[in-house]
Amino acid sequence: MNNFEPLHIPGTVEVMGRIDIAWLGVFIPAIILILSILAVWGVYNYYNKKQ
Amino acid sequence: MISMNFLDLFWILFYIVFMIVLTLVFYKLAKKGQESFFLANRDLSWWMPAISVYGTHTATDTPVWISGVIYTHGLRGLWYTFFSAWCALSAFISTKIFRRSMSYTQAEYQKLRFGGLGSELLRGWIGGWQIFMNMFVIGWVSIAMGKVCSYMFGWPIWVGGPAFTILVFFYVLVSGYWGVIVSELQQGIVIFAIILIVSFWGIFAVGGPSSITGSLQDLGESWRLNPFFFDSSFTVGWFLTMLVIAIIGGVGMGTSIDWYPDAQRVASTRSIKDAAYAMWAGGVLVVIRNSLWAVAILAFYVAYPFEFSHNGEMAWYRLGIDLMPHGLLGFFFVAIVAIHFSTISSHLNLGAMYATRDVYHHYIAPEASETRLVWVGRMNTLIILIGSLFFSLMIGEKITSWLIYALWLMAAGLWLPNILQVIWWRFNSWGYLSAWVANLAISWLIVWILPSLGIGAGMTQEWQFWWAMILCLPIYLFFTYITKPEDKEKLAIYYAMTRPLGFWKPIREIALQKGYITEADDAVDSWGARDFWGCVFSVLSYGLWMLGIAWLLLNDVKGWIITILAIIATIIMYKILNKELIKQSNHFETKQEDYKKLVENSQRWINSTN
Repeated sequence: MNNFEPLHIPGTVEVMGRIDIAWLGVFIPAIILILSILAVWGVYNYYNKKQ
Repeated sequence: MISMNFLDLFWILFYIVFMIVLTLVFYKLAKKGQESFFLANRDLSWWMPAISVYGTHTATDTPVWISGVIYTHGLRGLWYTFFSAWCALSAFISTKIFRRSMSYTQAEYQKLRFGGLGSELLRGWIGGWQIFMNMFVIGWVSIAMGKVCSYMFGWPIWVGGPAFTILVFFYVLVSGYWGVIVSELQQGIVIFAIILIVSFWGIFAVGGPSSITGSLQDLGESWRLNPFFFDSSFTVGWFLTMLVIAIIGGVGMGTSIDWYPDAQRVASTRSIKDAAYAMWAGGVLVVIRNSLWAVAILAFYVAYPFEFSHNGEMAWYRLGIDLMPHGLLGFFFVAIVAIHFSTISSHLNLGAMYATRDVYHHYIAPEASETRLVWVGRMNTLIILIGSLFFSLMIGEKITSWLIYALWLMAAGLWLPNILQVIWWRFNSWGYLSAWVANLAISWLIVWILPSLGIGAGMTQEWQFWWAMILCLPIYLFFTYITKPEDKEKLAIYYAMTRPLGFWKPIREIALQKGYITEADDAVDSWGARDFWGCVFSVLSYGLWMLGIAWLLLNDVKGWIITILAIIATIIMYKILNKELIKQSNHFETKQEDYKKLVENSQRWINSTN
């Protein structure tokens, strides 16, 4: 499929050369989602009170 | 074509809905008036426009372009991307001047800087040109998005691009610039995170930094690790030309195409200090991003060497598509959508601002109410969208490359006039207008006409730039000197408001005589050695951040040293400039409302005495 070395990451399973559903694909997007919600919530709260 | 599983599709759907819904809650803040809808009430702290500057400089075609130059040139290709260094000087020169002018747009600034018929012609021309440019940029970026979707999913190009562009339109329509700035905040977080993840993953997928350097040596390509490797395809002349264009260009306004969206970010900040830091930090994020990309693209080169035509320009996208595990693969596509959303939203609102502020409000309905202006702003957002879809249909590979080339050369003849309008009082509207016309004609001559006659056919790009600049120079100097200077009284008011840098002595004397500025103002606002050294360290920090991060990712000891030097240069710059910026901001705060009234009076000219 490609010329890269597969990275063996604990807790993951490879299917057809690609790491399948794993903690990485669940937690990283979720953490970033929460961070960005907090950022926008903070901005909204600040300016809404100010105005 | 790639296959995604449930988790990938879940994140894509969830994030797109989330990005749109989260911005809609800002409807209430955007509807209050023109200043809310286009400038978020000029009340933003520096870090929000900074993330926005970074987000706007990152479009779907940016990784394609950067992949192309790094795959071709190795680390020396970073100098092509260093054009963002115009932000380093701009932050502490033209950004401060523009923020003080209280203008919404660059077109409005021309009306303030120049007077009479010439200024009206310039405002109309730049307003119209920017409406066209924003439609064109959205059309062109939409096609790039369409190509990415076609590569990933096999969709026809006209489906992927315009479909996502229309989604952005809804939140820009409802929440205006508030929607843009808030969405760019969360998009910026997503984009930076995925660039970090994909780039590190790519580096380790070829065995880590030592494997990249070792493989390049084995391939006989170790020159790719040297950012200062010059040969006939990357000459010292081209390198110096790029540095001059980028760095000195920051003194002027409009020397880079990115100035126009960035000027909106500058105008929306709450103070001069916030404007300066927003521009500096936004630019430095772009420079660091470029280094993250560059080393990852070197990793890709190690995996797929000598295959530019197949893989070169898709290098970074290929890393994400080939390597991300399920879940993160969907999240990678989310980041691509975020990159697209952030660029499109900026240009939709920016184009609508020019159409509303410079065309509708200035020429058609000077006495329009704030509610009416917001409504017109929304209608203009729709018009910009429709225009951009039309351009999307028109733009093909050939037209795009031709126009990008023409735009690059357009910058050549106008580069110096864009600086002169900031630093030289005698440069007038007729000189600036003639520069626009001369530049169009001369760039056409240099690129198309003369080569067809066998003259200068093999001229390199740096010489094309210098020739365009040299040939335009006598034309606009001639028109400047055969026409009268701008009204000195008007220039004195402009001088007092903006405190421009450079050759303004006669105007400064009038401003002092008339009492527009005082000794006390001078003590705070004068340019001096502190500004000079602050600017030197600002530029230095940009270069050090770029090289330091690239070498750090390659685990080269130089990377540690240079990154530490970058931190030191940044701290020195901050120490030199921060106190002065605080003083200037506080001082300007006392006059800001009066200046705002002056600008609004000029805008609502029917019943005005100005």
